[in-house]
Amino acid sequence: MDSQHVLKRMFVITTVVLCLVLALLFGAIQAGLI
Amino acid sequence: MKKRIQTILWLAFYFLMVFLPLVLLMIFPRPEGREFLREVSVALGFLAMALLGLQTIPTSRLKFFTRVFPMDTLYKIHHNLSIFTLLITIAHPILLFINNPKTLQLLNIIVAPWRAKAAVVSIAAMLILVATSIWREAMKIKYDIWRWIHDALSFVAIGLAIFHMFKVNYYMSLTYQKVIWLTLTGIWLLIILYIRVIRPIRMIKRPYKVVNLIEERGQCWSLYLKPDEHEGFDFAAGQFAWITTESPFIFRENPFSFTTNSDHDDDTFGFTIKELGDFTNTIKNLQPGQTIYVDGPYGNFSLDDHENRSLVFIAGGIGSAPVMSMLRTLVDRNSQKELVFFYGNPTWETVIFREELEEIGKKLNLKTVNVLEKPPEGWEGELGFITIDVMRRHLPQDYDESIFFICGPLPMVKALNRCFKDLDISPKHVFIEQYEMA
Repeated sequence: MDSQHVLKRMFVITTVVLCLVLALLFGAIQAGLI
Repeated sequence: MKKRIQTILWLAFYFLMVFLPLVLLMIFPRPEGREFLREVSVALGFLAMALLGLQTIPTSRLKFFTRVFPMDTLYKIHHNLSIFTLLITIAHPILLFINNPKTLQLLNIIVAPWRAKAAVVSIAAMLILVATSIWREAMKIKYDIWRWIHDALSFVAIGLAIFHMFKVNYYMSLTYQKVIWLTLTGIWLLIILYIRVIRPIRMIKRPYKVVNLIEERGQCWSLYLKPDEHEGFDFAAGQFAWITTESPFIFRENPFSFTTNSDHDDDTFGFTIKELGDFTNTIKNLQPGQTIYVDGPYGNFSLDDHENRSLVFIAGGIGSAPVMSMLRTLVDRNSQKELVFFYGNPTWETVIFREELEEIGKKLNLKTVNVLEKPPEGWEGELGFITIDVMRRHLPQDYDESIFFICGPLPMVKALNRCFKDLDISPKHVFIEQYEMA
């Protein structure tokens, strides 16, 4: 695997994880859970 | 600016564009919160909207982007994130329905308010968009027709999603949110304007003429072009360009690797093209003097970044095109580097550039390893495919320090990736260009 494909994998995984974490965090903040 | 810093800056910009609207909402005063599922749903909607708009960037072939990221990497990111965007877009209404089942009536687009009608049509457009992209070949949709469908559905999906957001007008009632989303929409529209209007105009203003067409082995044609009353462009050996014989506004261009020496003195350059489909089958009918439109160069193959290292080229069939450009350039430079070229082909008769490779072998420190699936009688060379055993027999002694250039179809690239792992070759030393980007 070349470094660009490693970067691609990390980029996609980071985007997916950050999206899910931020969505849950926003929901929790707005619902007054945290 | 160094490539590494450019990469980091572009990634930072991308994340900023995707996450800024939501992060600002969490930091600054905002409308009163509601139920957990409803708010998670809203957040997913915002994120899906940002991701959807930014999907226009990876495939836009913007030069400042493609200089940093290989095209096939950008296309894969586009594919992967498109599917994720669709999933969270669908999750957005599903969470609302779970939170309050009465909202299911919003699916009745006859009586539903305009904000809901727009959302339903936008999601339907996205579903068709993704389905026609994944199963285009199974659906027997021609590439150029698919591109028009893809563009039209993207426009509908993005446009109606923005309309939906402004009509719902809960968090969008905040002025800074309006400014952010209008700015993002402006950026997306500018990119679409560049791709669909400005770039075609620039291509028309800088046409090229066919100067020669030569038949090669394996149903391939070498096409040579020169600029028509303009200075042309410089390319690096191993790069590629999109070409079309029709108006660039029809968007039927196809990518091909340069096969000529990049250090040439005159402004003529060439591609070698295999007959594989609608457009490539017409190459043999081109006539000297005919106009061709070229968009390029693109691609991250470069001989210049790897001084004092041995080079290993691996190609299957017409994947040898960028390798030939690099070898011809190395001949011109009188290079003494140690070079190994693993070259996979079905038969000896279809080995493109066979005779020239023998000649180049006399001028360079080059070992060409032909690997044939169906060898002729008495063949003493390598058989089958380019496997780890074949590579072990011929790689340079210091192969862990060598630079690897690979060009071929996806199955070959996947198999080689496993070989590199087993051979403990650093990803930093491997450069890949795949066929079939779109």
